[in-house]
Amino acid sequence: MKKFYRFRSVYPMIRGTGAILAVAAGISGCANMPAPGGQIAASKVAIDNASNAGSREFAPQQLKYALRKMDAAEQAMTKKDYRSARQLAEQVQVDAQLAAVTARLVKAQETLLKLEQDNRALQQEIERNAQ
Amino acid sequence: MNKRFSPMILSAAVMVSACSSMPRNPSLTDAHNNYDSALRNPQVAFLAAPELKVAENALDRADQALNANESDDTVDHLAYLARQQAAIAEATAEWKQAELAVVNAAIKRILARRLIKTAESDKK
Repeated sequence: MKKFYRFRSVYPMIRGTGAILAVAAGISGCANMPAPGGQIAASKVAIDNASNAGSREFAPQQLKYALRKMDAAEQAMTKKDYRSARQLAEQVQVDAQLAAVTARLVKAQETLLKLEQDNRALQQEIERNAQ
Repeated sequence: MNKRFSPMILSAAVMVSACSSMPRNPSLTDAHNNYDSALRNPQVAFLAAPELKVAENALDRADQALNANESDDTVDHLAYLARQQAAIAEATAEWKQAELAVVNAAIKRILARRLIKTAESDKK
């Protein structure tokens, strides 16, 4: 019982320091969260790479998805929500990378189909010539 | 009373201990599954080793965040990055395989055309 009471008298103090600590952590969190300018720039480069890889034509959905997130990242920047801006910018980088490699894949698959079509026609010609 | 409740208490205790020893996050579980399937694909290990390594590092970061009890939001974000990196590794391997097939088919086409040309000049 004695212990319990002692705890009760200490509890508001603990709660007080907890609140102070939380506020301090919040402040230091803000101070440690600079504007993610580098991440935003890297995202733009990733989107340029995806465009150059032909994602507009060969992976349009994935490119659109990355572009939408890019817009959201820039909106978060203007609202000074740097945490969201950083996360969105990091996601744009992987989304754009996936769009780029998907575009390259689809392009290669289309080239392959054309070549295989050509080769079938040539094979038939060779067989005709052999007869 | 005691007899009736002890199995419940026991199973509750087991559940609680299972939860605390194995912290889980659905998006991180997802990322692990995607990474594991990329890892099991021998073409990925062969043709996209650097991308697979990036995915592994991203997954480690997400696991560490979970173990350090970071916010769900942070773990979800890192798990998303890891999942996409695993997808990039898979797609890279598929792309390189397709490019190899393109080279192979292009060589076949050159040979076929040459064969036809020689046959035609032989006829003349």
